[in-house]
Amino acid sequence: MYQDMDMQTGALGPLGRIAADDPLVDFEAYVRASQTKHKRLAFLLTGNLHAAEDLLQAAYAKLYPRWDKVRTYDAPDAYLRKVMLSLRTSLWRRHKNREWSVDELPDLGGSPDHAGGIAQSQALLKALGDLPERQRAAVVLRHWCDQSEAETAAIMGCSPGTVKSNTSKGLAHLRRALGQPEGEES
Amino acid sequence: MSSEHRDPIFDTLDQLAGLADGDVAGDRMPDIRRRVRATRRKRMAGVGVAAAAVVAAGLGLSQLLPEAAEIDPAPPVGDLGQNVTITAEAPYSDQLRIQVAVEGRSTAYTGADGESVAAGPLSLEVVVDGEVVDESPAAEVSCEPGGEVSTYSVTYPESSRRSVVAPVSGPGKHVVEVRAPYCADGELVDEVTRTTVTSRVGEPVVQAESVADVDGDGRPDTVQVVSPAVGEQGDWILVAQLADGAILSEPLPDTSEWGLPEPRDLDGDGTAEIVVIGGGGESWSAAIYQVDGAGLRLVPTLNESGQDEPLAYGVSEGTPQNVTFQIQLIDEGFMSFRFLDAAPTRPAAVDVRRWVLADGTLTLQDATEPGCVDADFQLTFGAC
Repeated sequence: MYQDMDMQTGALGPLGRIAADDPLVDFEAYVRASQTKHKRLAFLLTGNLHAAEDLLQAAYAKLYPRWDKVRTYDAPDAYLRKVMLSLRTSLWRRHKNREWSVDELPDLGGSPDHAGGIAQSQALLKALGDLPERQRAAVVLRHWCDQSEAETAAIMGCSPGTVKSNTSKGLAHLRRALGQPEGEES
Repeated sequence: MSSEHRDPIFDTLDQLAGLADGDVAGDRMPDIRRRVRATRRKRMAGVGVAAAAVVAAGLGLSQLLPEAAEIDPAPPVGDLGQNVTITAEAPYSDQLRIQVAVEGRSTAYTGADGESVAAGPLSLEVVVDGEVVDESPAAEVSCEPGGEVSTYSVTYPESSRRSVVAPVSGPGKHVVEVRAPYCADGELVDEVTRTTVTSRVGEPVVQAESVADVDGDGRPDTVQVVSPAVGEQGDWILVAQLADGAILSEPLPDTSEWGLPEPRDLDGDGTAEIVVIGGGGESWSAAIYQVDGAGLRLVPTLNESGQDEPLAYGVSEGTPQNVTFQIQLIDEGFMSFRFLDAAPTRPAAVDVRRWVLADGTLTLQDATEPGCVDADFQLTFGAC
């Protein structure tokens, strides 16, 4: 799941061990510590492993020149998530091809459980692709990143009411697609 | 949301997200740095042209004050209408910060299920120099006649402490446009509110400074590493302010950042060379300069065969440590060393090769000597 991780600090430099508060070391440590969770988020936002990788690298490249300031924030992850979302929206608008390109999901094994899981993931991936960008972002941020409505609104640059509306509509669609019972958003 | 109350959709999302773990990336930093450099180069092309225009306009290079935008509000429509106020400033020559306030009186929308949706901007789009930099896409509602009239006041971004941050090509005038369509009794009014803001070139920043005799006259000189102005792109520069008043400078090689210039007498002639370390962490490079006549000379670095050998270190995570030579600057000068074990536990034995500065060239020696790297990663000669 999407949780904050402790950053690794300290690395080797020509003058010996570089202090952990060196911004460059800090950034590399941040990338190493955060890449897995952010790669997952990028995948949920793009539906494609190659696009996810590109989105994540582009986001880190946006963050890098500003790291000296962002590293002082309480939640650098929130800044990176906003960058990722902004880049995703920007690319989506810029490119005429707005189709959700779905990867073939990797085969995780031959057991019925695994096969069922893959089928459900494939269905979810397709259902996510059917959602408008804002609904997808709202659902992923609220229900996978565990962000509150206010936090999600800050990342998406909209009101909590818009988040609630987008989340509700997006969830309803996903539940229908997955055959899950309809329910209230918690 | 606690795990007890978490929506069941979470587990399905989490299972799907976990599939991204199989697509393993190597060391991300080289590609990140490449992307940053590419962006800088792209912007620099614009900076050159725009900087020339700024100078031609007589503004000079030292005017730092950002310019607040003038407001060009959209006109109201009948007794229904909306005013859009754009606050835009250019803290740096390549970046604008924009806030938008929208006040209006208009009619409610009709939702997909026929319900009334409160009046306000249907969407909001911020465009800088013709490119969309931020947006809040339209809700799925329609503008029908006869909707309830109400007043509203919204800001974008919602928090006054936040701004839309828009990269721009460089110093010069930039056009900011905002579209925030609203519903006026069945008519969707889609006006553009526009303003201009001028960004200007700032001043370079001294990032690090050392004092030592670097020209051999027995008097202390000042050596500085200078970066472009905050927010600017361009070369980092090594500057030597000599005691006799001469100022020498030389652009540093292309890398992300450069640190403290460290004066070291690497060839034992009594005059310090200037050692500058760039990059950081597991990927860095060093450059050595000598005061040579009226300039700063970059010392070539060669291997034992006389071929160029960068004084740099970078290795992918997971590489066995008995494969790649690492480099460290110790009292005796630059040393390359390689652990004898693939996964050593420090203190650990290493093979050491010296870098020797002679006749203005730093050369990596072929011969190896035994050395030891201690728990603090300090290299010394001799067995552990």
